[in-house]
Amino acid sequence: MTPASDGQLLQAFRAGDRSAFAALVDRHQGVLLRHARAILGVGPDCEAVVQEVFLKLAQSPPLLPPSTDGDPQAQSAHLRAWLHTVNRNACMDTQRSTRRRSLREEQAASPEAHDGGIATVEQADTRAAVERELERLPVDQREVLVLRLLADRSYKEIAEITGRSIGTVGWLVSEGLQQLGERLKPQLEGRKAGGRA
Amino acid sequence: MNRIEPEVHARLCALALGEVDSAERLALEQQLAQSAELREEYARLEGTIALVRELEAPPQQLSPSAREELQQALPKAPLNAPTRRWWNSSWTRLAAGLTIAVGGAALLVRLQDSTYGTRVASLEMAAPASPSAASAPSSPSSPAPSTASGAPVMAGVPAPATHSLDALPKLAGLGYVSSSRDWDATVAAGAALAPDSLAAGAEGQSFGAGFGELSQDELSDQQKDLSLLMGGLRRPGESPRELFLRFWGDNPFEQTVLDPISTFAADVDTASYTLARRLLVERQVPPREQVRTEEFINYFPADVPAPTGDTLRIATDLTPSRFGSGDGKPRWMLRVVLRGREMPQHERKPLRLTFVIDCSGSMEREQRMELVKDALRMLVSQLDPQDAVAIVAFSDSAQQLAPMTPVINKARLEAAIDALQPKGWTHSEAGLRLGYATALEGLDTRATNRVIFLSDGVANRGITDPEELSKTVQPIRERGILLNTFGVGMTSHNDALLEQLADKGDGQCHYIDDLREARRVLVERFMGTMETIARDVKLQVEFDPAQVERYRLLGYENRAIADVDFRNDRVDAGEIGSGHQVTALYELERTFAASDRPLATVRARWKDPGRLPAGASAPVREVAQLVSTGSAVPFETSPVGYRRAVLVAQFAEFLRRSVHARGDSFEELMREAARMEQEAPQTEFLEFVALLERTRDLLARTLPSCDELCEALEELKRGQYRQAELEALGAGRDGTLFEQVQRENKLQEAKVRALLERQRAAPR
Repeated sequence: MTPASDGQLLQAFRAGDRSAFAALVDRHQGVLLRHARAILGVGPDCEAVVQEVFLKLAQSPPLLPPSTDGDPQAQSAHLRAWLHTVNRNACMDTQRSTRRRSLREEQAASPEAHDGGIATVEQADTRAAVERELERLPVDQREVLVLRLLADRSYKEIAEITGRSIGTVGWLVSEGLQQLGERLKPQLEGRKAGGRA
Repeated sequence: MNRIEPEVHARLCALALGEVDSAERLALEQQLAQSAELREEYARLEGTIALVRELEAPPQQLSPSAREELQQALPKAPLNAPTRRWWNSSWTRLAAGLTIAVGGAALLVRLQDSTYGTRVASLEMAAPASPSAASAPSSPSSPAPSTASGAPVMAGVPAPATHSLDALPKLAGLGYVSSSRDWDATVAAGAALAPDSLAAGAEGQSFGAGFGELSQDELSDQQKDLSLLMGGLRRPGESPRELFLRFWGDNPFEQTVLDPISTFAADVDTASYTLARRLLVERQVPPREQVRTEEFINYFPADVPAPTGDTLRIATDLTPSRFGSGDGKPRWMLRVVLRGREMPQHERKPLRLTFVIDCSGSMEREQRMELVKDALRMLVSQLDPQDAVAIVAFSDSAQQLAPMTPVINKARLEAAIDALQPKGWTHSEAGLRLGYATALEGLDTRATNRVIFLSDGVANRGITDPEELSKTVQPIRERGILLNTFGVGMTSHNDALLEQLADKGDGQCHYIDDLREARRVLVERFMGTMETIARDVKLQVEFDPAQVERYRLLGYENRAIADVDFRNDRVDAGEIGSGHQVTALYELERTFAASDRPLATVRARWKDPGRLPAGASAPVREVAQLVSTGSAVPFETSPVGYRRAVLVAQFAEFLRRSVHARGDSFEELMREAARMEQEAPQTEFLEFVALLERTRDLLARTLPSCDELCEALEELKRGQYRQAELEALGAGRDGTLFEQVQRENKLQEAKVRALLERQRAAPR
């Protein structure tokens, strides 16, 4: 059985099917949490923000443009763009009110984080290193990387979500990956040598 | 590593991520085949991408409690059927009701204000076609329409199509809904506060401890009800002011006997208005905390004549308040203006300006670069022969396009401006460093030396951390070179860097959203920004408790200074430039005790920067002015600038969904603004009037209304605030009143509890 498309789920929910809403939450919560975390950092705010996004979805689900009729992929793209945009705005509100960002960036830029001991400490836990280096990136780079690599959004979709041009998205991705690549050298080399997949 | 061209690197990324078409893929693969260096980088990119993608597992999920709350919030009726009443859903228990009339019907909201009196306010969003709207009661004494059904009353509109839900989360901001974010704190505080009533409401369960261990089924309705109830109760140790700020988010009316003195730092920033305007034009309501009333007021041009002798002068106006008042008590509005001397052209020091201009790729968007170039050309043509300008551009790296060049050499500067081209990265650090080097080269100690940094605010090369970047600014400031920052075409969220830089550089931060704004800040108001005439400016107003019962300051919530620090000259405050005007509005409740004593005393204190030898501390100045009762005039005959400020402040309070604005009529504001515009046309105000019209429907959709439960909660909050106030006043002084209020609060608490019970019992 093929799973229902986003468009079908949305329609079913509008017609009163509550399980359709649950399915939408199941499907999209992961990337939205990731996206929120890319902006807000690890913490309880992310969940509150994503909850707010789904509340908004429950309360006033977006209308799919007629041009997407009969095109599940286009409908899905439209919904995703909507979810990410709402998510992003909610993050910005939260961030602005808590000034969380400057705090987190201070922590990320603390001397411990800059210490070169990456090779020895982190080889044991590559994931933790990747997470940490991702956290250290400027928020705009981190956001586009998370959207591209973890939420699997295209440059074009990211441009719509973040209000930037596709060219700028490309630059941010490139800059972010370059920095990550430099900082994750030990992990990359360890992997080459050890042949771990 | 050898540097690969950023352009090429970006294309490699696109290739690795499948973002290129087949022709480009072919071209890139050929390039890769020819260069070992590129291949190495490409392999590293692929490796890095793989590392990041592995983070995906395990998928992240919302917690069960968050899921449960979501489930609770689902509308019970299909959204496709607009005739069903959404407010019968269980969501009402949490959301306490909100409805919006679509199609411009009169929306009647039964509201109460902070003065404990009930009133009916009409938010007349009336379409001409709806005659019933005209008869909507608006007098404070009119009885409230029945809300027994729990549904908001729609006067004279039989079956409104309601579109509800869009603004629900905003209720949290108004204190109607306790947001999930402070749920635990609320419950914990509640447990500490009222263990008896808690146990009763919770039917024997304990909430203070082990809350997180409950499974999702056990996250009962009682707990949610309780959280809602607790949000309306006073927390241990909470002052009346804190209580008010938590409940309603605005400065409260202060009891003059308790605190006759109000002290704050001058603020000439206007960014909040410019940003809000941009959002509203894009049909978004700005976030509440982004609307700073004082910045709205200060955006509008000065109207008080500048002093000719002294640096600053104080001016005041007193009229009846045109804001609504719930209990029929007439209120008054006091305007306090601090106006700076205008430094005449011949008296001002020559300027040495170093422009540091962001030429990164993102400046290409929305023609930001062209905007900057046009503004620069305008500015250069306005400067004096004694002034000089240098231009530094930065993208991947920084480049000096013109060293400090006398303005007479216009051709040289024009050529440098023409050479500005957007491309590449944003290496703000390199730009700042070269900018400062250029400024130091051209430093003239007899001149005003400034670095002017223009950017869209997203640094992505070199040091990108705002805090770190600011550190490069500070040492230079000590050499007398100040930093001003201008944000170009940005939205509200990426301003942290520019704000911090300007703050560290003792300069100001402005936003430019279009050419008109560019002309305004870079040409018309530029001299004021460049020439600081007073530093660390503080204002203090002392009211006479015999004449003023209560007062509230509009805005300046973040600029408050402890009263005792007014004369503490180490406490940092605001800077005022040549010709600047700072305006503060106070709403007052007077006692009407006959007195020929002044109503209030206004004091200003500042440091005079003047021309000081290095190391000398600036002389401190203080002036005072009395506000006499006899100075009051009717609102209609008060100065035009004063009336503008009041209308603009009222708009800001609407946007802030301020508790003080509840019940005021937006239509009335629009009418008065239009009248003002007719009477005394002015560019900024004309634009404001247009903005009001654009905003009306948008705002109508975000104004909350209140059902029975929500009103009961509001009543409880008011009672709690009253009790806190009485306690602060010394309950002993009027023990019976205090006990009465306390008793009423208990009753009200029980009423809220009963309503919650009833709603829970009602079939879903």
